[in-house]
Amino acid sequence: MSDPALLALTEAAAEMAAGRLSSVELTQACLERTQATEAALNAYVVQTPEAALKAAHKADAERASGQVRGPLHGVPVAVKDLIDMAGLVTTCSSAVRRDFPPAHEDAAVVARLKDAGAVIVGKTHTHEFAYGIATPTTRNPWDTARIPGGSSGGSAASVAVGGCAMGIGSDTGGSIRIPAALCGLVGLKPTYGRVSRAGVASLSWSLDHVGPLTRTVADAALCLDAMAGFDARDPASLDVACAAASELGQGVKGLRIGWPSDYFLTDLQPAVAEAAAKARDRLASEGAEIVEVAIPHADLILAVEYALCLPEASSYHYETIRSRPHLYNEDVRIFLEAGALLPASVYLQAQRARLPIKAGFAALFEGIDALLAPTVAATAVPCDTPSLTWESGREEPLNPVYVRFSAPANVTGLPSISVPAGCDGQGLPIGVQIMGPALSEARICRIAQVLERLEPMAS
Amino acid sequence: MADDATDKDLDVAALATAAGLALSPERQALLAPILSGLMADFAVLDTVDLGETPPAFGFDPRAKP
Repeated sequence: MSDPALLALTEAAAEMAAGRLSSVELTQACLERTQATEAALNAYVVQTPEAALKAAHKADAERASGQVRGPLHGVPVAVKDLIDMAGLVTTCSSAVRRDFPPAHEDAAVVARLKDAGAVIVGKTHTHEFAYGIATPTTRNPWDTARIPGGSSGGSAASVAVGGCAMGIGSDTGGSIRIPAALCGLVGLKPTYGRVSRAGVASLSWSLDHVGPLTRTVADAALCLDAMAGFDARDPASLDVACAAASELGQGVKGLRIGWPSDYFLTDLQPAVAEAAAKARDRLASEGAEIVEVAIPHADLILAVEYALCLPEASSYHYETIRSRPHLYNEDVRIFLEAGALLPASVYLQAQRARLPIKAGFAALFEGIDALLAPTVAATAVPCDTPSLTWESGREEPLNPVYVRFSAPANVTGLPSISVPAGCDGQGLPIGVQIMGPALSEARICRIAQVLERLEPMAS
Repeated sequence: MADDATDKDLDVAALATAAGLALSPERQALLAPILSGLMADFAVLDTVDLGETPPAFGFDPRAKP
C-alpha cells in the first residue's frame, strides 16, 4: 500500500473495511504529513492530534465490534476555522477574535461528520472571516511562493498534501471551488440550503454554502451525503434527501452539456481556456452532446454578488467594525467599511435582480443537464499580487479575477463542482466546474468523475 | 474604478456619520474612490426592468427560531 495519507477517502475506507489499515494508522499518517509540511504551508490554526487519535481508537474499536457508521468511519477530516468545534475558539483567522470564548458546541456540519465516524485533525486557516480569495496565512503546496486560493485555503492545502482526506470549506463567491482549482483538488459547493450553516460564522447569509474539498469526486460526493440534512436552526435549510454518490460511474453518454458562448470565455488565461475546451471535447468523446448556450443576465451576476455580499458582511460585523476596526486586516476592513456605507436601495435592487437571474438559469437548465465552464480565470498567482492585466488591456483586481466565474452558482444557489483539468505551462493546476440545476449534485458529480478519469492529476 | 466627478458627488463623511462609522479624513479619502467604483459597478442593476419583482427573500411564519 502507498502512503495511507495519500489514499483517496474511498480507497482508505476500503482498506479499513478489508482490515489492512486502521483508523489510528491512517490518522497517524495524516498527522505526520502535516508535521512534515506545516512549516512551509501553515494550513492550520490549531491541530488536535490527541483528540484525533482518541477518536481514531474509538473508530477502530467500533469497527472491531461490528459497528461501522459509513464510508467516513475513521477518516481524518479538517475543519475550516470559520466553523465551530466545541471547546475551541473559532478564530476566523482574525485578530478580532483574539479574546473570543471557545464554542459551546459543534457546528451542525461537524456534529454530522462526527456521527458519520469522521476523525477531526484540526482547524484550518481561512482568509480573514472568509472575506477574500488569497488566504495570506497559507501557501500553495504546488508552489509555496503562490496563494492557495481562498477563502478555504487552509483546508485545500491540507487535503492536497495528505494532511486529511477531506477539508470542510465554505463558499460565498467561490471559496470552496477557487482553492480546489488552485490546489488541484475537487471542491463541491452544494445547492443553497443542502448543508446547515448553524455554527458557521457568516460572510453573507444569502450567499453562504458549506461543502467538502477532497482529492477525488467520489470522495466529495460521499462527504456531501454525510454533511447534508435538514436543520431548523438554518433558515435556508432544505428538507430533502441527498444522494450525491448515487450516479457515480454512469458516464455521460446521452447527457446534454452546456458550453458557454459568453461570460466564461473572456479575460482568462489561455491555458485555462484550452483546458476547459479540452474538457468539453473529452465529454463529447465520451458520448455527451455539447450545446452552446448563452449565460442569462451575465452582465448582472457580479454586481449582484458584490451588492449582496458587502452589506450583509458589514451587517454581520456591525459592532466590531465600529468598535475595533484596527484589528481587521486592511483588505477586509476596507470591504467592511465600504459595505457599511452602501445605500439600502443597492442591496434591495440586488435581491430583486437575483430573481430574473435565477429564472434565467432555471430556463437554461430545461435544455441542458449541466453547464461546463472554467472554475476560475487564472491559476495560482504569486502571493501579494494585487491585480492581473488581460490581453484586452483591462486590469482587474484579484478578487473578481477569481470570483467572476464562480459567482453565478452563489447568486443562483445552484450546485457546482470544481474538478482538476490538467496544469498550465508552469505546472500549476487548472480547474473546470460543472454546474447543474437545483439539487442535481448526483448528476454533476457523475459528469465531474468522467473528467477526473480522463485527466488524472500528477501527484 | 472611479472617476473624479463621482468622487466629488459622494459625501463619505455624511455617509459615515449616518452609518455610525468614525472615519478619519484619511480613511474617508481612501474609501471615496472605492465606494464610487462600487456604485458605478452597481449602476447596471438600474438597467434591468424589475417591474413588480420582489426581493429574493421571505420566511416561513410557522417556523420556530
